[in-house]
Amino acid sequence: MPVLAAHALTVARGRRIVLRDVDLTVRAGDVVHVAGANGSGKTSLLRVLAGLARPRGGELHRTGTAAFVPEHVLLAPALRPLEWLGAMRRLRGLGAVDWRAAASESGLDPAKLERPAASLSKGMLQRVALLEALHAKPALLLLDEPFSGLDTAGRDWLNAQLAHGPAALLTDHSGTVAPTERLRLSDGRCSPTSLVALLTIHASREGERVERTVRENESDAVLRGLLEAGWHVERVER
Amino acid sequence: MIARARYLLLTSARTRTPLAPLAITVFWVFGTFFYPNNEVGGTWGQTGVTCCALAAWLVGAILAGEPAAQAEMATTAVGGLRGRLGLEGLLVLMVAPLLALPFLGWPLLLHAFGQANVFKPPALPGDVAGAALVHICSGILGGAVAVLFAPPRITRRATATAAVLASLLVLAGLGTLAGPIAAAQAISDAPRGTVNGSELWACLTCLALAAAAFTAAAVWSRRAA
Repeated sequence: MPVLAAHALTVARGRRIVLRDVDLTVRAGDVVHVAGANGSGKTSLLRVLAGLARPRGGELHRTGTAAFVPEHVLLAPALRPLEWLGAMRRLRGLGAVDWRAAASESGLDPAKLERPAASLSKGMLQRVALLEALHAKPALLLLDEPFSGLDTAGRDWLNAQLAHGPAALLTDHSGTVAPTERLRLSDGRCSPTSLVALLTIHASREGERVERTVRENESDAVLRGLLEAGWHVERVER
Repeated sequence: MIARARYLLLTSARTRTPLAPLAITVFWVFGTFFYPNNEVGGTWGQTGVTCCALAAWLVGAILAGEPAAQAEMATTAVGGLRGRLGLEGLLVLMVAPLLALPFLGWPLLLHAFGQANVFKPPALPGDVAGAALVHICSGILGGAVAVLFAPPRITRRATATAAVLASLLVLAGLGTLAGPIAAAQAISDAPRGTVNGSELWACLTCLALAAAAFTAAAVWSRRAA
């Protein structure tokens, strides 16, 4: 079941229409890279998908919760990240987390969580916001340039999190992300490209034949389902 | 609800922007009740109107003190624009009684500690109840006006300030028809020790105007964001 489905979406920034006819489906485990030139509407699209703005037209269905991390993470100057992480957790109605341990795992010095946000660098704040979003375990992560402020270790950490995390839709000019799909925004249009190979499964059962086209990463589950239902898998084509 | 209130308190406590309206509130309370023999209805009518403006300032200041990125992350966490408006509504409901408290509590405290002539004649329980209604309803209206012109609806701070001031002037222009001036007039004219129909009606008009401001804010959010 898709965590996000958009059909013929129109995205505006103020009075200007920046994107038209956006069709998009994001399933659990997908990592979708939104690519495009500066001003092509990447951030506007993320804001609409995050519920921060309404689409000007089209349909948008989201199942489950979402977490959004903007490009320039900024907290109130005197706010301590530890306080903010706790408050956000409560806002989401979730239980407490050992943020010091979580920060350590991400490579962030836990002592930094107790310092005012004003004393933290862009990368540190970025990591704090990513920690919050990842630990919320949302159905959908929406990340605007999440790698831009991170060092090499931070980028590796985030890539590892994304590989085993929830569905994610992100912009990235650094070329760090390893996506399963790419959305290219250009001239107000959006063209999706699947970066995961599609497999066609041919199966038969008592004279009946079926043909299923699935993504490579979903093929195991589909094959298992067919076999359990008594189908004979004849061949799988790439 | 408690989680949202705690988030708002944390945000308010970690920014400098609310300091100015809070300081002005304290000085306004001390200044008003520094002199003895105040007339109950007139004094609380005047502070009720002030409460409307101070609530607009304080709510606007708290919302302005929350950086846009922080607000966006919180908005997504509470489920989007509707959740955000709920958060702002809660802020207004927290600010209005907070501001009413010193205007009502300070003179009563002075009276309790032996300064018998703060009000002449002394305030009766009915007067306090009427004043509480007027202050809270005026405060809610002021706060709602601030929410109407807060980001993402208006992002330029100067424009938002001008819009809030203009709205407060329009509310004052309504005079005794509706809003905080009507509430002030009603409490001034009310018989001693009672909460009469005029006060209730004026307070209802304040709440109706506040509801209209919130509805407009919801519609505007959908278009502006």
